[in-house]
Parts: sequence; structure tokens; C-alpha cells
Amino acid sequence: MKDTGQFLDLFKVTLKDMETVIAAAMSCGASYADLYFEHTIFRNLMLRDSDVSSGGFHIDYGVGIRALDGERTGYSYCETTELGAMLKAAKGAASIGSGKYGPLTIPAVSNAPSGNDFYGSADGWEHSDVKTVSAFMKRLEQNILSKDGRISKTLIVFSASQSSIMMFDSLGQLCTDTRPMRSISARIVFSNGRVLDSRSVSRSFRMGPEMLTGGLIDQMTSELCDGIDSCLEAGKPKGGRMPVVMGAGASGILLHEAMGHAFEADFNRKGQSVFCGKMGQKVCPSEISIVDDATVEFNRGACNYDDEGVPGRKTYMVRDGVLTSYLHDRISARHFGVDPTGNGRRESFRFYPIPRMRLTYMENGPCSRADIISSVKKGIYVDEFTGGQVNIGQGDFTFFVKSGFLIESGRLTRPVKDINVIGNGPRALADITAVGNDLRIDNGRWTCGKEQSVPVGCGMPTVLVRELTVGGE
Amino acid sequence: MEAKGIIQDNEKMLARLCVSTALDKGADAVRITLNKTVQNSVSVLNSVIDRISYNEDRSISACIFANGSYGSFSTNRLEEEDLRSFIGQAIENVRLLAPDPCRSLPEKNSKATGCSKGDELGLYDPAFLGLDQERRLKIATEAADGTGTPVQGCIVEAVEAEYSDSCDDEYMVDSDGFEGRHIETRFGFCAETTVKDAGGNRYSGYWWDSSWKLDTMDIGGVTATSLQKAAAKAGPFPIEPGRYDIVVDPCCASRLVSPIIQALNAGNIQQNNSFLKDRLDTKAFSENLTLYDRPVDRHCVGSRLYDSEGVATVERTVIDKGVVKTCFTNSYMAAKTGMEHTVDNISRACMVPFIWNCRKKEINLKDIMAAVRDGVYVTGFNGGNCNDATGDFSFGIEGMLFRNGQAVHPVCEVIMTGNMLELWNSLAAVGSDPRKCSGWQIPALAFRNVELDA
Repeated sequence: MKDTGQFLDLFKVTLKDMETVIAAAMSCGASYADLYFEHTIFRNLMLRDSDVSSGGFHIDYGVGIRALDGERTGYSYCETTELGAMLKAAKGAASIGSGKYGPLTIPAVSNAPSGNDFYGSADGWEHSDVKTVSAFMKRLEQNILSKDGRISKTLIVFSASQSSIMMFDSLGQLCTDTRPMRSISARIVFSNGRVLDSRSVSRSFRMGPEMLTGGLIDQMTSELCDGIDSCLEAGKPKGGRMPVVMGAGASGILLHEAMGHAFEADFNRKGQSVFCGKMGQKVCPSEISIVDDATVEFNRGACNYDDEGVPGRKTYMVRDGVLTSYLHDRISARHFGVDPTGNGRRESFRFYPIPRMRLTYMENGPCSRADIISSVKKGIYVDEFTGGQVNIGQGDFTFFVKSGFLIESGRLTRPVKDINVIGNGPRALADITAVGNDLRIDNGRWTCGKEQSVPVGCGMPTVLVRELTVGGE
Repeated sequence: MEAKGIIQDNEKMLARLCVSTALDKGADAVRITLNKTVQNSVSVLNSVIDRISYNEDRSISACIFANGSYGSFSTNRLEEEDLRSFIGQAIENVRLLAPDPCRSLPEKNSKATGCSKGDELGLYDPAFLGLDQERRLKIATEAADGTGTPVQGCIVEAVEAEYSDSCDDEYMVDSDGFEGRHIETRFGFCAETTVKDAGGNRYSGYWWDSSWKLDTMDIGGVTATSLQKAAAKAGPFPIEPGRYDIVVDPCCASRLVSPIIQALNAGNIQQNNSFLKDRLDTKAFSENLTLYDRPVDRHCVGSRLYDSEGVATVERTVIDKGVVKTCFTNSYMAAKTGMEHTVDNISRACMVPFIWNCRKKEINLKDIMAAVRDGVYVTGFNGGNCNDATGDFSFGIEGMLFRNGQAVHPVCEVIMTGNMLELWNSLAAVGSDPRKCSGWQIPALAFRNVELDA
């Protein structure tokens, strides 16, 4: 759906209605107000014990109304777009107003498109797609089971969502976006008679049905089955502080947890981040540039617009080792006197936008993967993860390693699994001593849970961190 | 007299309309749940109101059984015409799924009765409806300002606090005639204080309290506690890697219980993804571990009279002196595995206190630290995970080194590693001091000889 008229019809509102609601939201003297209309249909199917025998769909519809009084927020939403209900909600949001700001004049409505087009097909879903996708899931299961007789259970979950979004604000800006997302994940349980364990893999893209290809089946199968031998042999390393080589791809979780959150401008505006007051300072070796990017096509973190109507773009947080930008929403941008960076994101119309990452990655450096590994006498190499966490104030972060290898005398030796790695963000960033030339974006189903859940992506070339604390025996 | 709640009679009619529409359109059976929530919050940043929000939610969820197949659906578009179309499409969708003979509504005699008013458990405070915005602003700003005595050597950089209240009202009906309602109010206040030491290092502390009843919420010391917690983290030292006795604070001890509950879920057991598979009625843990589910205690957060299928909850022994006595098995998993049908999940986990060197019945954190004498006092977890299939875990921890029962200094970058079965077989003490505001009543815990890396 591209035409603004279709969005107005979908949400059963007129431009005049929206202006009226904005005026109500600013009636107590706010400096800015915006409306966020959303209609999302989420579908899911589950294959368990070789049958796609459960699934469903979920419909979510409503409008979020926000009034800003400088940096202060009034927020309300309603699950209908009837004018009366919206005006009642707008009154709730308006109560933040201090009366400091004068009467409203909305400029002429502007809906010039941003020109961004980062998503795949947003084709509507037909009921018959249940059959097509079920068949795909069965093919994936058969492919997985045929590869390894030690697999006893397979669980495959597919989801597809499509969100129609319309945003209007007191600056007169009107924009629309149709956001597709399809995800598939598979988990296997396997045993060699002595050891029982499980592995998972997922893929997620802002794409339509074209995502489901034979190539995807092969990739997911390989990723799951190729690691079974290592997983059954793996143990825990001897724990302690040691060099850690972060494999290309999913190691981007290090950036997300250790640095990305601390670069989000709300934490810096409030004086809570370990990177407060460090803008323009050198925070790591000059080989390092860290990016948060909304413009990578089909990526889970891609945004034509953020959820405040700011066009998606690429933002360098660290360039050549120097902290160059926080990630801003409109509130923090106003606070720091800069332009918003398109990072104002929200889980749904039920939430106010806050600064969030999109696709966060480190740009390539000069080293080869082989050289990095061979430079380590004793350490670990990690390449599969299941999540992480950060303490913004201290900057202490952790991430959980699902699998990796010991490095002994420059070579990958014994497999390791199920270990937590802990470190301090600024220190870990400064301790990166080699950056590979093999940047890979991980297309797993990453979701960031800072107050609200939003889809994100991460990527990384192979990187050597001089020392991190590794859990072990 | 029926509790007021927030669901109106005409909305109940919509839920019943969904049941009859589904049956008319050919469903074999259907369960409909109507949820409605009203929520308010006021955030305060450095003594200034930073954010106000007011929200109302309502949605209908449908579990539909048709032609031997099953699907689950939801919508928040509750106009009659929209609902009829929603149910029609849902049935059409279900018919495209593979049949599964194990899917059906639970047996009629397993379902709860006498639960249609919503306030049977006494978790609804009518004061919610009388609260006005002025009162909320007053509560939030007064509580946020209570940082208490300044801490020497620490400058307060930021104090962020939030007051919130909500009313959740759920109405469930099914085509077998079940009718249930659960109404619960919640009032909460939390604060996060960030301090800076002389070296410019920042430390944050977080604390909260909540209650179903406004006048029993204890928020007076929340902001001051968050400051104390932030200051207590200042100047951390690394510790030597090795094996330590640990004492876990009640505010975070449930983190170590949840892998057990996860492993007792029949869905995980059926998928061979549980370290407690085949352990029912066998001794898996220390004989000092006894865990109950107490879902029907009145005025206790977490209580519920029925589970997500309408099945009656009852008090159960989950683990008795280390022996696994209960798995959480819904009707689907019971039919699929032959396991005994219980309920979908635990409601209020409660533990029996014990300490190895005395017979006290009231045991608090101080008693446990004095008894353990030396070790690491865990005040929070920082990431980590537990492998569902093996029970192997690795968690980041925050806390203090203690000697002779007294805190010595905060520790940094510490990881706790082991296996859930081994950990719970080294259980040394269970307090009687769980936080009242939590649904799971997990008190202070102590474990012997735990591997810590730093």
C-alpha cells in the first residue's frame, strides 16, 4: 500500500480529523505533538512432531498520541480511531503541557516521500499461504532429519507480519510505511546416547514470501547440523580472563550490548551512560568505526522511516576511533542541539518512541581471520550466541556463548559451549587489538528488549579483544 | 455483590457472541478470553515530571477447535461486525492446519467453578477507580524526592523514578459452559539512581515496591534504597577465580528457580529439551529443597483460580525433600504424552525455610550470611543462560565479597558457572524472607562451593 489515501481509508480518518487531534494534544501548551497509526496482522505456524498442527493470526489496530513539552512527554493511545476516542486520549497526553508554549499553528501538510525503499515485497497474505508455508516447513524438517540420524526432535516456528503505519505531526509532516517481516526458526534436539543437547537457528527479513527459498532450507540445515559433532564433544573451558576472538557475524552482539546501548542518547541525556560527556573523544583504536544503519535492504533493522517520521539513514557512532554521534530520537536531538538520527523507535502504537538501535555493525579492518586467530596463544574463539545484557551505568555487559572453540598456540582446538562472557564496554572497546576484513551481517531473529521489544540486526568482522572474563570450570 | 472491575456487561456479551458465532460457523469447540486493562504512569526525572501516560487496552483471544485441528487467534477490533468476520476467518484458517487428535477443551470436571465474579482471591482494590491524576502526581513526586542521606564520596548524577497503577480484568468463557473472571489491580513505584565517584565512574542502583492494594504499597524508602544500592557498587574489586559459598538476595533469587520450573514444563519434556525428563518421583535435588505451588492464597500476588484453559488450580507439592512430584502439563501435553494433567504452569512458587545449623523457622538474609560466614553475596544477575536440555548454566553476577558474615567490598565482572542439578544439590540455606510484592515467593538462598570466574 503506497497511496496516502489508502492509509487514510484504512484508519478511517481525514486530514482534518488528525489536525483536530493534534490541536487537542497541544491544548495545554505543548511544543510538539504526533500521531502514530498502526494496523498490524501477525501470523504464525508451528511444526511439532512433523505436523504443522497449530497456528493463528493476531490483529492489532490503534493510534498512539504524544505531546511533548520540551523534553517532557505526555502519552496515550486508543484502540479505535473514532474521533471522540482519539480526542479523549489526546486530552490525556496533553496534560504534560506546562502552558509555556504558544497556541498551535500546523503548517501546510507535507507528505513528500523520503525516497527510502528498503523492504522486500509486502504482498498480502492469503489463507492458502498456510498450505504453502506448511509445505516449506515440512521440507525444511525433512532436510534436517535426513542430514543426521542423531536428531530426535525438531521444532520449527514461522511468523509473518505486516504493519501499515501512518504518522502525522504538528510540523505538518505526514508519512506512511508498509513494513513486512518474515521469520523462521528451527530447533533440534539430538543425542549420541551419552550426551543430549539442542541447537537453534533462525532467519528474519523485511521481506514477503520470496524469502522462502530452497537456498534458505540448505543454509539453515547446514548451520544446524554442521555444529552437532562439536556440540556433543564440547565442554567448558577453564574460566578466567583471556583473549577472546569474536567470529564474524553474530559477534555483533558485542557491539549491541557493550557499546550500542551506552550510545543511545536517552541514557546520555539523563546522565546515566558510561559514555556521558565523551562526544568527540577517542574511545577506541583508530581502526574502528561503528555504524548503526537503517538502510541495509531487507534487514530486520531496516527502516524507511523511524517511528517519529524521520527518514532512516546510516549513522556513524564511532568513526576512526572517535565518538561522533549518539543515537537520537526527537527529544534527545533537541536536548543536544542536533538533528534526529532516525532512531526513535517503538514496539507498537502502545509505546512512546525512544532511541533504539537498528542494524549495528563494525566496519571492516585490515586483518585476515586466519592472522587474528594465529596471533592468540591461549584464548577462546566464539561465534554463536543466545543473548546479552548491559548495565548502562557501569558499562558492564555480558553475552552468552552457545558455541565456540579454544584457541591454543594460534589454532582452534577443542569445542566449547554454554559459557557466559563478561566485560566492561569502554574497556572492551579500547581493548580491541585487531579488526578483520570479513564483515558479515547476521540475519538471525534478533530482538532488543530495552523497555520495549523491537527487531534489530547486528554484524561484525572477526575481532580480537585483548582480554575478557570467560566463565568456565 | 460482583466486583466492579472494568469489563462491562456488553463486553461480556461480545465474548459470548464469539462462542456462538464460532459454533454456528462449524467449530467443534471454542474458548474465548476477553482482556481489558487500564494503566497510568508518571515518571519523574531529577524531581521534574518527565512523562505521563494513560492507556486503555482491550482484546479478544480465541482458541478454536474445528475438524480435528486447532488454532489460536486474537484481535483488538471489537465491533460486532469485525468480530463475526474475525471468527469466520479464524475457522477458515484452522481448517488448513493438520489435524491433531490431542487437541480439545479440557475435561469439564477439571475446570474451576465459583470463579465468575473476578474478585474471589481479593486482588482488586476499588481505590483504583477513585484515583485522580493529581494524586498520582503527588505520589510520584514525593516518593521520587526521597533519596535520603547523601552518601559520602558519591555524587548523585540522576534519579529516575516511576509510579504506575493498572487494573487487569479477564473474562473467559468456553463452549462447554465454563465462565471465569479474574480482576487484579497493581500499584507500583520504582527508582533508579545513578551516582558518580571521585574518579568519574558511574554506578546505578535500582529498587521497587508494588502491591495489589494502594495503601499497602511501601514506597517511602524506594528512592533512598536505590541510592544506597548504587553507592554500594562503587569501587569494585575483582576476586580470585575459584569455588565460593554464595548467598543470593531475595530480590533476584527467582532467577535460579526458573530453570527448574522451565524443566518441569511438559512441553519441554515432550521435546526432550528438559534436564528433568524422566525424573518425576525421583530424587533430583538436595533433600533440603521443598517447593510448593500455592495458587489460591487470598490477597497474594500471583494467585489465580484457573489456568489459561480454565482448569482449576490447587495447592501442589512440586518438589518434596528433593523429589520431583509435579510436572506442569496442560490438556494438550497430557493427551500427547500420557502424563498426568495438572495445570499449564506454576502460579506462586513457595519454599520451605531451612538452615543447616539451627532450627529457626524465621530465617533472614543476615542469619544466612552469618551462618555461611565467608563467600559472595549475590545482589543481581547480569545476563547469562541455562541450557534447558542439560541444565548447564553460566550467569554474570553482581554483589559483594563478605567475610565473617559482613560485606567487605563490591565485586566486578564475576561469572557463576555450573549445572542446575549440582547447584541445587549444594543448597545450604533457604530463608523465610521473600519479597511480598513478588508472585514467586523466593527467599534468600545459599549454596556451597559454586564455581566463580572473575
